[in-house]
Amino acid sequence: MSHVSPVELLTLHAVRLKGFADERAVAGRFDLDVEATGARLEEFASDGWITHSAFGDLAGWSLTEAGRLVNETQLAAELDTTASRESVAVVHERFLPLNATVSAACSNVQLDPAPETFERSWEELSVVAERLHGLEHDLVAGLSRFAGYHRRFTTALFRADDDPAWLTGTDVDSCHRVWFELHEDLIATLGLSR
Amino acid sequence: MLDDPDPDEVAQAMARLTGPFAVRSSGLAEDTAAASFAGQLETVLGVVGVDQALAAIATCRASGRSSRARAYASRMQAPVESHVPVIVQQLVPADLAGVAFTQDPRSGARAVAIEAAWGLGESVVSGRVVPDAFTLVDGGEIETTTGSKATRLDHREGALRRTAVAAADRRRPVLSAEQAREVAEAALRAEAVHGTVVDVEWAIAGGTLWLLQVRPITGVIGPRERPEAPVGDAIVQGVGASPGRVSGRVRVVRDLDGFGAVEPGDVLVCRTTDPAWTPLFGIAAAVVTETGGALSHAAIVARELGIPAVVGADGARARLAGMEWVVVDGDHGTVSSAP
Repeated sequence: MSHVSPVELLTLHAVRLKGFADERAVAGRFDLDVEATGARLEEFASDGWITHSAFGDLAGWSLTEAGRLVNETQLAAELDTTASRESVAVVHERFLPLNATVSAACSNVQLDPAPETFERSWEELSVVAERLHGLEHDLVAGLSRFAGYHRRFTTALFRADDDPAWLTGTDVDSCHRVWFELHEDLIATLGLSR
Repeated sequence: MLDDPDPDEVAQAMARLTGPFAVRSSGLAEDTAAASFAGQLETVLGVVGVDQALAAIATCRASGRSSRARAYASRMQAPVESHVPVIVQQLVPADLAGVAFTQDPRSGARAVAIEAAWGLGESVVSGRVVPDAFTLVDGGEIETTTGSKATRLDHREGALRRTAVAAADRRRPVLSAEQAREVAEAALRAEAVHGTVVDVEWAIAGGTLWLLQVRPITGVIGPRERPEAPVGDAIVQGVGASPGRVSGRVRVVRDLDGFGAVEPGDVLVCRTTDPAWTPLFGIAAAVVTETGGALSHAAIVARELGIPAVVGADGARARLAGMEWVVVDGDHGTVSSAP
């Protein structure tokens, strides 16, 4: 039976995964109520776990160092109570070689505008998408909060067929952004450093 | 044809040709070497009869006023088309077709680069299929990359039809070595006539080669040269992960709590980055990390945002902590003191 994480954990973890996001984006990450999420974020801020900042016309929440520790402590406790540390670690092992493929495919597209390169990278990423389905399946068996990566990655891949920005773009939910987020999720969950 | 076409004149001219026809716009600005309107102006294929031709001519003339063409023109500082010359030509029932450049558009090298696929050239021009690529250098050597050519467009039984290409035909090159040379020679002859490097649209029907359109090449990337190394010794050496060279004020950020100190135009110096750091990339002039390689997430985000990045720069935080202004060279992977 897949474990469903409490909303408090999901809210703080959403800030971690999004990196820097407004309350709507934080709530949207795990499909939480926007108003309740806003109230929870204010609480976290008064606890010193998150901070609100603005860069030009961009404003959002991000974790403080203290909040990062709280997040990792919560994730570690969850991993132990659900006895899923072993299975997540195995998935992380399988993730790493795919991570090399994704990084290389994204870099190649950025560095070489030839259509053949795009086509090759796209093919490589579609192979990764299939493998991602298996990884997500194994993760979700223990923790339901890992659901959605495969769907988002595949969506981005199909959109990239018309608009290459969906491979590496930073302002859309591109293949690279989804993958980068999964990497961060695995690292945070296992308490690893980059 | 700058005024409204006279239907009778169009009918008379078309009577001298055999249909079906291709009606294509040939922008005045399109003929300048500064900007290519390739794909911006309209082409209507498979036109039959005077009525269809008049409608197609109207479509092509209007295309010069479309927002897509106007936006492109203003970006390239080319005059906005108010009059679009239109050509009516016989549609060549191509068995295979494509484009040829008399300069390699990727490297700028002296070579003829051909792209080819089955059926009408529209499949190649529109980017609908991955075409075969043939590159011919002076020595006569041909470098071939076989594309996938999944579909083909043909004009059959009075209509344009896109159909799947048989698996065996997808995997084999559409041009023989002899045909590739013939296309290259024709392209070079067109270049000689125009006195400048050109791109041509060509088609082969029943063994005969046709040149359908010739345009001066635009947007050629020159042979990519690495910019000169900066003067002065590098304080930090890493891997150049995103190209470009800028100077900026050093901002060493140790952790998330240091984000607030970063100001637009700073050189962001850190150990490593995770998704939380992405907005900083949006305001920083350059980024220097101690970990990672050219394929790291940080490198990919920096390239996406077009800022120079040096990654894997061991000891960067300690060595740059006392510095005020530095020059980051994303081509050579160095950070040096600003002159």
